[in-house]
Amino acid sequence: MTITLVIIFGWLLATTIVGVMAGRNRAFSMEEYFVAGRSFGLILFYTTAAAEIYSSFAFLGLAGWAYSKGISITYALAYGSISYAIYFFLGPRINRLGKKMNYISQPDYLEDRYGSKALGILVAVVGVVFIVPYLQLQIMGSGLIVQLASGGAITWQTAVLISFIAAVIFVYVSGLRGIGWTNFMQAIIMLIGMGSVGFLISNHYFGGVGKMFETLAQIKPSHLTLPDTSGNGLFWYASTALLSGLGFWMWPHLFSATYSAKSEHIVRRNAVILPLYQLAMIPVVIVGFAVAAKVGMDPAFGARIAKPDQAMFVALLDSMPPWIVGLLGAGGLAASISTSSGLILTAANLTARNILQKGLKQDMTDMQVAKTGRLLVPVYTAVALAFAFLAPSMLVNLLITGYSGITQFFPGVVLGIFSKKPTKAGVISGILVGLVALFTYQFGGIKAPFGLQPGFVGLILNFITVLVVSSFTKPVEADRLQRFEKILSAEEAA
Amino acid sequence: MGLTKGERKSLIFMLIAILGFMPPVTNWANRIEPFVLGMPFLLFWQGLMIFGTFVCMALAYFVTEGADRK
Repeated sequence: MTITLVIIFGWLLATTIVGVMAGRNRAFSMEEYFVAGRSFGLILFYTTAAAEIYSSFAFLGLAGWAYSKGISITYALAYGSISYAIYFFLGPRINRLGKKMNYISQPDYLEDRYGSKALGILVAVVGVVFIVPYLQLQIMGSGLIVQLASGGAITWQTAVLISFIAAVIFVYVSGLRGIGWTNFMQAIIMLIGMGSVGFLISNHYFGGVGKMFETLAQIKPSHLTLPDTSGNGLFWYASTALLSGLGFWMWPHLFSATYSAKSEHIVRRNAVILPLYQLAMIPVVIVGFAVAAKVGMDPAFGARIAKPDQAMFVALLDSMPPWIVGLLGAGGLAASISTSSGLILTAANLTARNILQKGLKQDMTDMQVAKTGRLLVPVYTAVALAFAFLAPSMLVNLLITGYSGITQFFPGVVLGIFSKKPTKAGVISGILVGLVALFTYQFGGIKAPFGLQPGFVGLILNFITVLVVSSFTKPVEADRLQRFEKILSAEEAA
Repeated sequence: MGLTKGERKSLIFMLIAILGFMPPVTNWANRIEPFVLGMPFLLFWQGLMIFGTFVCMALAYFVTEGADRK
């Protein structure tokens, strides 16, 4: 037990020190703080982007889903790949626009592209509204990981307080540069821990991954094909993977992370190598299946797993020495904190830059934006902590719609890069129609057609609205279009 | 605006990467046997397609760079 905790908190301390050191000797400015001065090279940008994907969900949720529901979880494998294939074309342009126009946030681009302050503020507010519940989820996940890994010796509340004081320290001091370096640390422990865990547990219980799957195929074949035990079928899988794949880079924290790459070439090369990081998810899925097979053989074991999210750690504690549990606990905590820190910084960024400087308080200088953003880092962390402690289930509804909600930015973002036709009225009404459709299906008790994801239906209606409304509303000014055309059509700088 | 010449040539690689995860390909891959590398076929296929996405995007990269850097 002690060894486990020493490893987990030792790793947390090391991460915090690296994060704080990263920001040393850097002049404080808005660009430095929020987009690391647009200086990340291939590896640092790789780990920054990859680590954001590995949230506490990747740790607890993947295994828990595979354990309780089955192979429909592999939509998570599919959507990552889809999003990187799209990013190959999208990412370099986002990076280029950021560099030429000094954008530091996602609404910076949309506001400028369509010449609409209202659009910028709308996107910033929607972004914050979906970020906070996501952050709350990460916080609770990180606490759960430590609580489970310690076998209950530490409560999740204590674990969360320690972890998030650490996160606030390095985000406050170093901004995105600190996050970049801590994500680099995370990638190391994840690849070691995640890479080995699937095989270790299958080996322990069944003498190998192959034997484990053969057992599972006999006792619970419904776990291994679609529709799986949960009833999620191929259509659900494909539409969810596609929706999440399109929506992925629309998350404000991932979008603005693209600005931090040194050049668009770095971004494009990353689109090539990012899919490989996805492979590390497979062992975690395998853990979930291994636990399902174990429970099938030994139902008493299943009684120890109160919730699916606990599946991985129950099996780890049962089968592995404390130092391995510690390593995995540290990996899970790191995964959660790296995602959280990006979310915290982005919520602060959106608020200071787009809701305040470009909205309510337009006389702010860039330096004031940076300082206000930095002050908002502990504020947003405290807000999410308060939700986690006091009203853990209050934001659940927002969370399940988070991905679908964020995806409604897709038409405005993508058409803004590839087409001259959309107007600001079109894009604004598209986002609103998409969100209304999403909430109606999700909470209005109406089933979306063909078993599709509600967000997917919202996205289609959103696209149609943008096209229709844009056809009769005032086009974007010619000089603005020309400015964007000039930047976007320029051949890549060699 | 619009894609560069090299990117237009590379679009096919993006399509291959995405379609590998979509019906009707997944209808075909949606089976337990044969087991490959110890994994049921659907899971193996998805792992293979992740690697396939990497290969596709690497090809896209070289095609794009080759066509646009003249």
